[in-house]
Amino acid sequence: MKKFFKKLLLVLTIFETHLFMGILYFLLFPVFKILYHIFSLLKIDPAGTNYRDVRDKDDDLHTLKRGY
Amino acid sequence: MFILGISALYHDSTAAVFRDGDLIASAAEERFTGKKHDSSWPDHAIEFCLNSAGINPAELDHIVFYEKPVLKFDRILDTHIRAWPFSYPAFFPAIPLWTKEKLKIRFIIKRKLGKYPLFVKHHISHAAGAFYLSGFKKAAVITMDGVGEWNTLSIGIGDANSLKILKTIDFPHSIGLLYSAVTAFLGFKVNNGEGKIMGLASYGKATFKKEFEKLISIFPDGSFKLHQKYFAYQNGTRMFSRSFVKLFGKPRKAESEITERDENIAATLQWVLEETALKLAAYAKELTGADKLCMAGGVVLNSVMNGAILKSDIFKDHFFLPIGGDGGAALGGPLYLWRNVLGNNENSPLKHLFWGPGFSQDHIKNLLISKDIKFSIPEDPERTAAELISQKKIIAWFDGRMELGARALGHRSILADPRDPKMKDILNERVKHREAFRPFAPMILQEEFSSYFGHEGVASPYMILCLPVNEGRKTFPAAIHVDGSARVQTVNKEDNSKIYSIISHFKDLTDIPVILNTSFNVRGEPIVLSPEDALKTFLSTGIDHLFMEGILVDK
Repeated sequence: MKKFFKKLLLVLTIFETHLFMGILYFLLFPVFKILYHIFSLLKIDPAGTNYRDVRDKDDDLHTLKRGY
Repeated sequence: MFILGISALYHDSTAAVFRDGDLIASAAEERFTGKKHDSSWPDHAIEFCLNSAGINPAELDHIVFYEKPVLKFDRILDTHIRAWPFSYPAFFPAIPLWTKEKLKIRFIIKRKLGKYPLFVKHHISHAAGAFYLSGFKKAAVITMDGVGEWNTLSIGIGDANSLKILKTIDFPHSIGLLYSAVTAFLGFKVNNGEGKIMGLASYGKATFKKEFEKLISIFPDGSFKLHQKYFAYQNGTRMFSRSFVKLFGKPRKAESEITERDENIAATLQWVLEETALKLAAYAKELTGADKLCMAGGVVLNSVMNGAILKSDIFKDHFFLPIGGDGGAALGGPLYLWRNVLGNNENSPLKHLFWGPGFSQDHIKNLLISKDIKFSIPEDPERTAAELISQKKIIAWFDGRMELGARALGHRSILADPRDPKMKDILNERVKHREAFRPFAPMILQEEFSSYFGHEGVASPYMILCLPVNEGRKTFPAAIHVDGSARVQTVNKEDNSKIYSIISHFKDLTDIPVILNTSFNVRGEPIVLSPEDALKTFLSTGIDHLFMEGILVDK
C-alpha cells in the first residue's frame, strides 16, 4: 500500500511539474514576449559599439554567497 | 587556508584545491570517468584534490563555484521567452534539470562537502585564472567563450590584487557561439570540434567574407553583433538556422568527405575571429593603458588566434590561460577570492600544468607483475626513448603527475620522430585514428625556439601558440601544418626535465632539437590518467614501446 502511494505521489509530482511548466510556457511566456517586444522598441542601442559598461560594486564575502 | 574551486554541470567539470593561494592539485572529472568532456558532478576530482591536500572536507575554509547559477537560469528563461514558441522542444527537457540539480548547487555542495559555497561570476572566474596565474603586476584581461551567465566576452583590468571587469558583450552575441555554429554546420561536435575547424582552416582560403558579413557586424572597437536570423541556438535545439543553410548550402554530414567549400568556410571563420581579436586587443590596450595582456575562456584554446595577437605586437607580453575552457574557471574562482576579496598579496604564478594524479614506480611494477607483462628498467630511460624515437618507433611516455587541461605536455604523451613526413599518417593509422587534416605538434628545446620560430624571449610551454616556422628550418615536417605553422611547445629543463632530456638526446642523435608530441589517448577518449589506462591504450593500439616512470614495456 505504502509503495502504491509512493508511486502515485511520484506520478502526481511529475504531472504537477509538467502542468506548472505548461502554464508557464503556454500562458505566461507569450505575455512576457509581448512585453519584451514593447521594451525592445523603447531601447536605443548605442551606435558603433556593442559593449556594455560594467558598474558592479566590489565583491565581498556577502555578495559571493549569492547565486545571483 | 584551503580553498576548493569547482566548475561543473556544463562541460569539462573540474576541481582545484589551493593552500594559501597556491595551487596544490587539480584535475578534470573526464580523466577519472573516461567520458570525454564529462559534465557530471566532479566527485572523483574533488576527492583527488582533497587527498592531495591531505585534508577532509571539514577542513576546507571556502568552496568556490565558478558561476552564478541563478543569473544563468535568468538567461535561460529569457532565451526561452525570446524564442517562444520555437523554444518548446528545448524548454521541457531543460527546466527539470535546472530545478532538480543546477539551481540546487548550493544545497548539493552543502550536502556533499558540509559547507555552503561562494559563487563567482563565470567571466570573473576566467579572468582571475588568467591574471593571478600570469604573475603580471598589471595587465589588460580579455575573456572570450560561448556564454557564461549572460556575458560572452569581457574586457577588464588587473592591477595588483584588484581585478575589475570594465566592458562586456552579452548573449546572444558571442564569438564562441559563432565558432560553434560553424563547427556544427561543418559536421563536428560543439564544444569538441572547434579545434578541428581551426586545423581545417589552414587548408582553405577566406572566400566567404561577404557571407560572414551577413552573420556578424564587427565594430572598430572589436565589439560585434551576431544577426540572429542565421542562428538557432536560442531555440536550444540546433546551432544554425535555415537562413544560414540558404547562405552556405547544405550542412556537411559528420564523417563525410570534406570539400573545398568546407575548408573555405573554416578559413573565413578563422579570419573573422582573428580580425575581431586584433581589434579587441587594440581596444583593450586603449581602455586599460596596460602593456601586458592576459586572456582566458574557451576561445583562447584557438592557438592560431593567440599567435596572431602575439605577432601583432599590440602588447609587450602575453599570458594565455592554457586551461581555456571552463576547467580554468575552477582555478580562477578561488584566486579571485584569495586576492581580490580577502586581499592577500601573493600567489605563485603558473609554472607548469602537472597538477593531476601521479603514480609510483612500485605501483607500476606491481601492476605489470600482476598482469604477467614483461618489462625492463633501462639505465637511462630518456636516452633509450630518444634512440627508439630516432629509429622511427612510436613511444608512449607516462611520467609524473598528469597534466591539467586539454593538452598532453610530456607526462601523458605519445612521442615520435618528426623528421619523417609520413609519420603523421603512420600515427593516425596505428594509434590516433584522427581526421587526416589535423596536424600534430612539435616539442622544442626552449633555447632553440627563436631560431626555429623567431620571437626572441617568448616561451610557449603550454602548446597554446601557433606560429609559422622559419624558412630553412622546416626540418620536422611531420609536426608542421599545411600552411607552414606549428602549435609549438617549448620545453625547459626546470619544469619538464625528462622531456628536455629526451629532446636533448634526440638532438645529439639527429641534430634536430624537436620531437613530435601528441596526447596519450585514442580518438573519442580522454587522455589516460593511470598506469592501468596507459597499459590498456598501449596494448590496444600500434604504439611500439611504453615508458612508465622509467619502466620500459615492449610488445
